[in-house]
Amino acid sequence: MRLFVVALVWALGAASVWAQDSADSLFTNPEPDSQADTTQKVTLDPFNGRSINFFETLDVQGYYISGYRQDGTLVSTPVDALNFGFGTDMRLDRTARAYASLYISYPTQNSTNTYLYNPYQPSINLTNSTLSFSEILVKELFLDYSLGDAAIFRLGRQTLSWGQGKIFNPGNLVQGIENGIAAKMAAALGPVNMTLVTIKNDSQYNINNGVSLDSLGDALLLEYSASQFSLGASGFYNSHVGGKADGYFKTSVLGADVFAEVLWEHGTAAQMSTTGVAGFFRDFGDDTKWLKMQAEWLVSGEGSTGSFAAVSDQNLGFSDQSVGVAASTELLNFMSVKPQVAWLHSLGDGSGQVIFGLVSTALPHIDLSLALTTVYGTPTSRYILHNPDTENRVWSLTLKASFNFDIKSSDGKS
Amino acid sequence: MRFIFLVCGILLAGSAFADTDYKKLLQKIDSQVSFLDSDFSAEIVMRTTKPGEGVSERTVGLFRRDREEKYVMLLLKPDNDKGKGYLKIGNNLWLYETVPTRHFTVTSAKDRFQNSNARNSDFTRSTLAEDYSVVSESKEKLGPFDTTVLNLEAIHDDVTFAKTKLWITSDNLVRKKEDYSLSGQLLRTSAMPSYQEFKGRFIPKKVTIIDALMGKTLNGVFKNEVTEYTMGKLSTDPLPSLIFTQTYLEKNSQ
Repeated sequence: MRLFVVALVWALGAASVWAQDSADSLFTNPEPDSQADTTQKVTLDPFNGRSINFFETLDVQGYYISGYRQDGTLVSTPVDALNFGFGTDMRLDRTARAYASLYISYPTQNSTNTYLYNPYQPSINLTNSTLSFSEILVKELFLDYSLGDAAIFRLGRQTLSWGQGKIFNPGNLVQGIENGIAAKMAAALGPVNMTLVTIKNDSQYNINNGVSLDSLGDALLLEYSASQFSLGASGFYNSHVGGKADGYFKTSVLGADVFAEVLWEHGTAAQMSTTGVAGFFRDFGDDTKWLKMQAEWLVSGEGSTGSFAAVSDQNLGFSDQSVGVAASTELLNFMSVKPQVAWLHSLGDGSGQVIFGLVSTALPHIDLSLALTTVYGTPTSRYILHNPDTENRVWSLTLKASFNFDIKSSDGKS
Repeated sequence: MRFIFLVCGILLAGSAFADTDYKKLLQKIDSQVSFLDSDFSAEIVMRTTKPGEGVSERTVGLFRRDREEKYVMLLLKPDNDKGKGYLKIGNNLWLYETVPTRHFTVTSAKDRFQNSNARNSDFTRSTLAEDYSVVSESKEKLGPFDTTVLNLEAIHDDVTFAKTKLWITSDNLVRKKEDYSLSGQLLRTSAMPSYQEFKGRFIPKKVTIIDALMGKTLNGVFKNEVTEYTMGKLSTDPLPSLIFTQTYLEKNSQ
């Protein structure tokens, strides 16, 4: 052990000396200072000509999840997922672009996003002798148009997320945009950035007569940043859902990023709800971050059955508080292993979830993961009733292997 | 007793005078390389050498609005990374990636830029006077340069390096820089032997960053990772405000 420490100290010291010597050698015959060449300028539009790109991705994942339900039953499920994606990215000139990302998947009910800890995919149906793939699904399909330097428009199926919370994010007023179609406009009004979105997503907003104008959800976000803080305000309105207003403040304190956000909701039946979330992110360590930590505190007005499409009538106010902590370390980076831990806890009913995970990226294109998950609480508590594991295990071990491959081809500019 | 008060008074006054002087010097250094009265854009050609792993090259577009604490960095080469970008507004720094999905990640100015030996904070305006205080001074010859060597310590936690050491020539240009951890471990050495004058400011022609920790022992000799970058295509032409938005990065992504 002592030998190892001595060797480590020597290696660090030697590396430093070599670094200093190498730097000093650059000053033996330095080029004289001179005037800058200003004949050329860097382009603002890296894609300023006609071009077309094709891309393909293959994502194969296999899980084995084994664990116990609250009644002691052992449940083990193999789960797999296979996504084959393909698409095109076409640009006519600096103003117009058309983008399409499509995919087929197995199992057919598979989500496009598969998570280590929340594998929602159904387990393999061992009675089927052939694989049944989904029809072609649309992940993104949109048209971009730049109106000079004044505004950028995007029309079609697209992804977007608002809100400051990484663990709890009630401020995402464009929730569900990826499952509908939307028109987005972004512009800079002096130092204020503005984003205006109109979303068509009938299932999200509980709309049956989906052709009318009032089926659209309209959202606006204004953001301003100064050197020491950022402010943001957003709003949403749909006549079937009601109105939502959100405001956040973000700054740095003692090296930590700190935010506070408040959401007010006003339902169509005059229900009122207020939700608050505050949190911080801090990393520790100079070069290798030995700890990266996110912690958030949520005072929820959503109740246990709250959804975006309706203001909850179960607003428990300060009786309904939750905390969440997530942490990871880079100490095992030299082995290409990343340990992570997350803890979610409802102060209202004492239920929660703890997840410990290890992800190895040592092999090219292949991620290997191991996760130990426990969900605790009384049988009627939030995390037991809304267990993210569809098999309702309260202790489980997940082994996962995933293979990802993507390739792009281009015809260059023409 | 009066004598003691007198000595203390003289010492305190001397110390205050020195602090003010150093603050002014750091402000001069900052003003040499900052553009508070205009926008600034440049093309950065970066070359990172990792012993035993080869050389990687990147071309990056840098767009700065120092007066509003904003910058955008857009990768232009290699083609696979084209469109990947960074947006900094105040204390917020986002990285827009396209693989495996197109998404924004909150990142830190302290983090490495694209797995190189440069940090994201290397490309913001210089804020030495706001971030550091001088703890000692000496004189040193650095190649042909007579330099003043300042040892600095951070006065708050929002800096990339807790301690730093500067070699400054009489024209208030930093020719060499060493960055240290709080414990005093050398993390990297940067050399800027020559500058290019541009609109009354000075931009390093080439920056060489030698990582003191990252590297590999080859044939019994430790070889440090090295990143070199040059800055060209300099301009102070006004930039459209729209480029300092997430939407601009989305539009230019692949």
